[in-house]
Order: sequence, then C-alpha cells, then structure tokens
Amino acid sequence: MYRIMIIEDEFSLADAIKRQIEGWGNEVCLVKDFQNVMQRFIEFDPHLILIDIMLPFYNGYYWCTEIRKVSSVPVIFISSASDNMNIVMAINMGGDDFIAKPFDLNVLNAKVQAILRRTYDLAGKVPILEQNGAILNLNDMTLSYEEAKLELTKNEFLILQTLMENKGKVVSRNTLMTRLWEDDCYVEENTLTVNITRLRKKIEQVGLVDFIKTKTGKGYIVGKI
Amino acid sequence: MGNTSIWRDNNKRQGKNMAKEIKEYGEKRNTKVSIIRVFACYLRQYRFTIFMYIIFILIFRGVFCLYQVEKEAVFYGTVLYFLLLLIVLPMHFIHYYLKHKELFELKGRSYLEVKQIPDAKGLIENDYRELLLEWVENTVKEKSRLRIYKEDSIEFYSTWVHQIKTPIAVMKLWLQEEDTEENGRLLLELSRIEQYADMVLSYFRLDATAKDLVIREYSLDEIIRSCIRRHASWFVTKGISVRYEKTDLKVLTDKKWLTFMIEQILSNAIKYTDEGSITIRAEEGPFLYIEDTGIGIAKEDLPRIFEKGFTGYNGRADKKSTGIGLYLVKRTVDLLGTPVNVQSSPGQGTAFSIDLRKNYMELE
Repeated sequence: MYRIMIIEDEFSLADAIKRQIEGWGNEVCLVKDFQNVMQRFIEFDPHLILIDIMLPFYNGYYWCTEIRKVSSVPVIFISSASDNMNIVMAINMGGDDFIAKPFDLNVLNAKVQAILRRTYDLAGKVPILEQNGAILNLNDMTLSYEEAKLELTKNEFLILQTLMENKGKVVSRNTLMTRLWEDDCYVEENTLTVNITRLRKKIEQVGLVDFIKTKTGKGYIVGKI
Repeated sequence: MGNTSIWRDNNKRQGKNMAKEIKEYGEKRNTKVSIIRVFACYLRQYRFTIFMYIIFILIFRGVFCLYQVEKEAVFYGTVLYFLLLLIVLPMHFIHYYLKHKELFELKGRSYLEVKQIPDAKGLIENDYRELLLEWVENTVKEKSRLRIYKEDSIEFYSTWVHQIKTPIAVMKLWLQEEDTEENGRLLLELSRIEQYADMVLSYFRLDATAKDLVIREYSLDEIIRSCIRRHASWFVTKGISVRYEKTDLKVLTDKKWLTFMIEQILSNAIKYTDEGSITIRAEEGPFLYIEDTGIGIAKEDLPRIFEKGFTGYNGRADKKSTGIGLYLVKRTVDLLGTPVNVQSSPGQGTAFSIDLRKNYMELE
C-alpha cells in the first residue's frame, strides 16, 4: 500500500519494525548506507520516513533537514531520549512526530496510521475498522452492520477495537483488560467477562453471529484465523 | 546479612559520636568576639614580654637602689615610660584585636578564596599562611576533580540507558507479535527491566537542587491515573484490583518527581502483593494513601526500608528487594518536601502515606 523508509542503524530494531509494518500490508525499505541516505530516498520515493536521531556519520536531524530541502514527505523521529528538548528539536527540524524507544506496537501503529491518513487520505474520510461487513466507527464509537447502527459503551468499544485491530490474531484477556485499564477503567476478570457477554449479545442483535470467537485458555479472536 | 547490619550499626554509632563532638565544639565557640576575652588572650600571648619587662624593672630598680641613684630620676623615667606605654599599648592591642576578629569571621565558610586570607606578619605567621594556601588550592583541585568525575559518570550512564533501550524495544516488538501468556509475562518483565534502567538516570538527577524543579499546579488525580496506567499490565497480570477514590485535589509541585515518587511506591506495593487490592485515596491534610493487602513489612524492618541497599534480613526468601526504589523515594522526599510515612502489619498489608500539606492548593 504505502512505501515506508526506515533509517535506523540498529539492524535488529529496524528489522523488527520492518516486519510489523510489512505485516500491515506496506512496502518497507531499510537504509544500510548511512552516508548516501539521500540517494536511497530519491530511489525509493517513500510515503513516510521513520528516522532515528542517533546515526553514524550524520544524525537524524541532519538527514531530516536534507530531506526537507527537496520534499515534504512526513517524517517520524525515533529516539531513546524522550525528554522534552529532543521532541521540540525534532519538530523544529521539520519532523512531524516523535516516538520514544522502547515503544509500544500500538503506539507505533497509531502514529504511522495517523500520519498516513493525515497526509494521503482525502479530507472527510472517517477512521474506521472493518471486518466481515461490520464497520466500527472510531470517532463516535458505533458499530454499523448492513442497515443497523449500534451504540457501544466505552468498554465495549475498546474491546471491539482491540479485537478488530488484531483481526486474525488471538487477543488474550490480559491484553483486553490492560487496554481498558490504560483508559482508566480498572476492570477485574469477571467485569471483563460480563462486558464481553453483553457485547456479544448486542452485536448478535444486529445479525452478527459468532463475530467474536473464544479460544479457550488463550483469549478471543475476530476474523478468520 | 547479619554481619553487614552490625557493620552499619558501628558506623552509625561512630557517626553519631562525631556529630555530638562537632555540635559541642560549635556551642563552645562564641559567635561574637568579646573584647575582654581577646584582652585576656593578648595578655597570655605576650606574657613572656610582660614577664621580661617586670624582671627588667626589678633589676634596674634594684641596681639603682644599690647605687643610690636619685629617687626622682628613677621615678621620672618610670612615669615617662608608662605614659609612652599608655599610648602604644592600646594601639598594639587594637591591631591585635582587629586581626583576630578578621580571622575569626573567616571561620565557618564553606568556600574560602585565596585573597580572603589576611596578610601575615612575621616568619611564623607566614609559615601558617602558606600552609593554609596550599590546602585551599588542594581543596579547589579536589572539588574540580570530583565534579568532572561526576559529570563523566552521568554521561556514561545516560549513554548506557539509551543503549539498553534499543534491545528492549526490539524484544518488545517481537513479543507483541503473538499475544500468548508467555509473551505477556515476558513483556511484563521487560518493562521492569526498562523501569530499573530509568531508575539509574533518576538516581543521578536527584542531585538536582531546588532551582531545577519545575513547580506548577497539577491535578493530583491526573498524576495518579498516569501512574496506574503505566502499571496497568502488571496489575492485570498479577490479578490485583485497584480501588481508586478520586481526590479532586490540586497540588503545587514538580510533576515529574511527584509522579516518580508515586510510581515507585505503587511499584513496591504491587511487587509485594500477590492477591487482593491496592487502594489509593486521600485523607484530610491532605495525605495521599497507597495501601495494599500484601505480605507486609516486619516491625524491625520498618525504619530501615528507605536505606540504600536494604534488602530485609533473617533469610526470608520472599523478601527480595534491591533496595533502590524506596531509597530513591526518600531522596525524592528531600527534594520535594513531601514526607512519606509507612505503616504495616505482616500478613495483612502495608500503607504508604505521602504528606502533601505543603503542596496543597485551596480549591477555588
């Protein structure tokens, strides 16, 4: 779908990020020659660049400035220093966003998606998640299927969002609960069970049967395996 | 383990004795320079001269007597001499007194500049002065060396922390690919490694002075919620619930350090609680309470939990702690001025309380 360029000299990290981004259906290029970054940039013509601040020869800020001379392609800085000065400098140097190591996959995903959407999607498009015809509206927390539109509670929405973001992969109960906690909802085991049961009942009412499957002992899954 | 605690107790005792001596010396030393005392010292210092002078008078009076010199001549000479003395003596004494005062007032300074040391008169005074100058120079060099060493250390550890975050990031990405229980547990341990790495930087930053703090008004609830969020996966994996009573308080403090303090205490609470809940609430004061239903702390250990490197003793295998977290809490207390208190009953739980009385802002 999109072409993403990663300028990171720690190969293992770059490779891990590459796997993730390729998993979302994008084409990824890893820069290996840190003296001729510009050449690679022109060849590959990426939609988005992930660049580490600490690099051999020249640092990330330098490359960003160079890239900005010829292009306004979105740039996300990666760094292990997350203190404010670094973030300010990154933005002042023409960066669009900043992510601190070690980062959460969800955060990386969210930032990349947000920037791609902001830069390349047409105005007016609503952020959604889709599976089997069911459309989850990320703005107003509703689920639409065929003609019906369901209002979801915050908990139900978060659970469904997490499941759909990881469609085709099993999501453990712990992960779901952690996601709710991170939204200041300190649920316990049985609360989660209750929420999922209620959610299932709700979506069954609009005709989606067996949308959320249980994998005993492991968690829940949405979509084909 | 038993041996190290005896060693620590001995050092403490020595330290206490020394402190007592210094205090007594300080009390003996007057803060004011009393003229009478100085005059007494003056007389004592020049007693040799005075003594020789008295001998001189006695010898000459004796000789004049024996030679039957005119009493008037002797008397006249003596009077003249005493008049001279009356003029010269006070001048000499005042000079002496002023010099003493100057030197006396230089005492107790933490920093002495070379040009502040008064001039020396005479060989002996000069010897002392030069000795003093040598030592002042040594101190300056030593201070400078220590400062450079410390800056080097901070730089080294900062780099180290940044380096170690990369493999942690890689591992996180790999583990997040498949959401299994094992991966979840591994991810949890990874974030603990990350937490310890961050503690290294906090340790160095704790040497900050008050002027490095950024004091603003913050919502205490927001700070608490961010701390809970950061520990969410630990809570969930251990199956501990949280009881959070909204405080609706505003505090005037440095957000970074207060967050750090609450996080460390929360970390400690989760670490030592296997089941049950952790309660976060505020009480009249205000005091912020973080209470757990964990294994608790023995009474003998309570006063020592904030010591650097204290790991609990008596071979209780379940009491493992590197003694860093709570030590850093204590240092943060000194920095922020928010005393922390602990109460605990083994087997029932522990309650930490943060005294926010100095940081409290009245609600509008």
